[in-house]
Amino acid sequence: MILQKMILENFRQFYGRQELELMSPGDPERNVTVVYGENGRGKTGLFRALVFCLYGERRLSQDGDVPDKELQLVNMSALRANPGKPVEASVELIFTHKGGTYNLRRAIVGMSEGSNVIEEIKEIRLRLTGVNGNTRTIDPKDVGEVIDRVLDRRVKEYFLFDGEKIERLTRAGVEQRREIGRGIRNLLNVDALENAIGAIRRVVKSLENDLAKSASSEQLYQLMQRLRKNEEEKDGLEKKLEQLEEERRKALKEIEITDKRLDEFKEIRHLLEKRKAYEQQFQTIEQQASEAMRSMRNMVCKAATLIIAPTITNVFEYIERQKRKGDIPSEIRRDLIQRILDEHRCICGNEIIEGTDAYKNILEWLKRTSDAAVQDAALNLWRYLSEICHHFSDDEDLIQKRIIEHSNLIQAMDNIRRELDRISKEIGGSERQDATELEAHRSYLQKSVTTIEAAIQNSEAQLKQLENEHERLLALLKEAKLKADRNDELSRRSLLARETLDALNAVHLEFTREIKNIIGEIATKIFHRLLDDEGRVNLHTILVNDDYSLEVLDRWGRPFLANISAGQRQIMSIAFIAALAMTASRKDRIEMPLFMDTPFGRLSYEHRKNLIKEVPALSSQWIMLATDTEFRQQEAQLLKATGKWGKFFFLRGTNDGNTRVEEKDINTVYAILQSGDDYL
Amino acid sequence: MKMSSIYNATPDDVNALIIEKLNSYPPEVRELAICAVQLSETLPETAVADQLLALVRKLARPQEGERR
Repeated sequence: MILQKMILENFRQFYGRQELELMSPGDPERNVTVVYGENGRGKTGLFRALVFCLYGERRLSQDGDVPDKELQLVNMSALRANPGKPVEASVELIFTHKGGTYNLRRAIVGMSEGSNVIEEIKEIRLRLTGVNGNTRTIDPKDVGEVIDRVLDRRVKEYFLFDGEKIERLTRAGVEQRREIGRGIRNLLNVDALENAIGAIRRVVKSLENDLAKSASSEQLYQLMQRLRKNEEEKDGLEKKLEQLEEERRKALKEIEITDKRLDEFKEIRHLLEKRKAYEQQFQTIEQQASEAMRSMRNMVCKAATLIIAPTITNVFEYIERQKRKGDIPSEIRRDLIQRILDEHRCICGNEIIEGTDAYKNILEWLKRTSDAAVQDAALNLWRYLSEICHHFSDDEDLIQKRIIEHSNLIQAMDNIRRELDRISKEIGGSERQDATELEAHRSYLQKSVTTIEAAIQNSEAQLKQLENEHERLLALLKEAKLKADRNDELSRRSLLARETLDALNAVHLEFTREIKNIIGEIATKIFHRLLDDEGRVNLHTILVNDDYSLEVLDRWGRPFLANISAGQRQIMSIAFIAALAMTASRKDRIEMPLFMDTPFGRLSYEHRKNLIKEVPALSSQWIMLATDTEFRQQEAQLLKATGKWGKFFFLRGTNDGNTRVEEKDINTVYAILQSGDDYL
Repeated sequence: MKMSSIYNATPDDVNALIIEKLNSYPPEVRELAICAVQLSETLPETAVADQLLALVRKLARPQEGERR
């Protein structure tokens, strides 16, 4: 199958009619098409358009639990331009397959009703032009069958390598094993065999019920009862396991959605962190300010003294001056001078006569002297004040320091408060609350997943035990039935049905093993073509285990999966999916178009080089869906060197949220990318 | 690369391959299994089961020589 042309009309984000001619007419060797666009521009939408056109399905496996109404196919702008009127959206595919040319068109009609859009399939038309050039229109009811013969709908997903699937397959787990198991089962193409197994299982159950009711042998009866109980328990456990896996899948999906929403908060996350830091800083400063205030309160007495400091200093200095002058204490005591004056005789014995100069001098002395008690009080005061005055400066410094300190803290608090107000305005209150709640919700979900996974492990272990017990009971039953009367018709019937069931199961198992081995062999070959030199030396074989987990063996045949790098894991997954696609094609080459959505994620240069070199040779057509970070100078150079690069489409976003498809000449694109310019 | 039979089988001849694989089983088992597969090509599981029950009864009936 080679996709020649895809015509989209009002489909998803593609408004109006848009065409992609995917192969250059007359140049089938150039089988690589690059579709280049930013995320959300509709790269996966092209694969969806393909699946819709071929099978009428709107969902892809990666859509998970997204409700149908969110997977609206009719373009919103077209609906808005025609309010209340039906709008047609369609996808037309022209492809060639085994010499025939298929022209398939599928249309859907949508109409807005309030906020809802109702969509309905309108038309399907398939015209097939055979090798002889005759064209016939296929009856619409047969279209599904014809298309399934070209590409079975069950294996369609192997031709879309989206980054998510590549990543998922590298993880060991129930879901991965289930996906691989489902893939292999689809490839077996043994619907009738599986239906037959289901039918014969019903027969076995019915016959064993009859036998249990009428069993003449007590041992046989007991065995059947045990077997039935075992089977009931097994069924119960299998249902429980399915339920647990569903719960796990839902929880993981919700984690994914929560993560996406949390990502939206990333822009304000730094602000939230900043605000938290400011709030903590504010608390610390507030505490410091409060301590500074307490300390200032303790200094109230000293502060009060400082208020009268000038007066105290004046008094002290006055007494100090008196002291320096010798007035305090006076050189001669006042009572001695008074006695001299009273007795008119000096202490040297000379008479002092009133009115003489000597008498006047002594009188002057008397005026300058003061009472002894007053002098003592003054001296005491001087000593006390001398001590106080000495501390004035220290106290003043300390109080001033405290006031400045407190004032600075208050200032800092004001600044932080202003900054907090600014950040809060920028963040908005509700978002902050949402982000916190989301973080808590995510953490709860993560814990739930851990609990569910533990329960799954436990149930799997129990199931394994029950399966072993089941096998043992079956063997015992067979033996007991043989011992029982062979002519007992009920026993014969039951035995025959059981043996037939075993035979069909054995055939199914044999086919499954064959396919698993083939896929392993093909995957190993592709793996080696894609690996770098070092990988080729160390990594030898890809194995699909009995439990459908993937394993890689080293050159000595030892399990090596745990030791390989993320890039090697990605290469291994690509090799495995390519092997599934190749097995589905039943050819040495994948005879279907391969869509690879952002395949280079974790790949080194060497791995990218090999992928670009090998994939065009592995498949009939390669449609590479790439972003600007995926397809740059190096990749363009490598692809050009293969000589396989045929087409380049640019998905350009328009102002109204739609996407316009622009085809570009590959040489022009190559020149732009080589010049180092960003194509976008 | 070793090509297995199931790998090469087209959807149309995969049932022939199943029948071929059943050759190594006892005749009654083979007959019942082949019938189950052939009926399953066109009928749903429950309808196949109903028809198989009748066939089991027939196949498990003691042959003339076995009757006591």
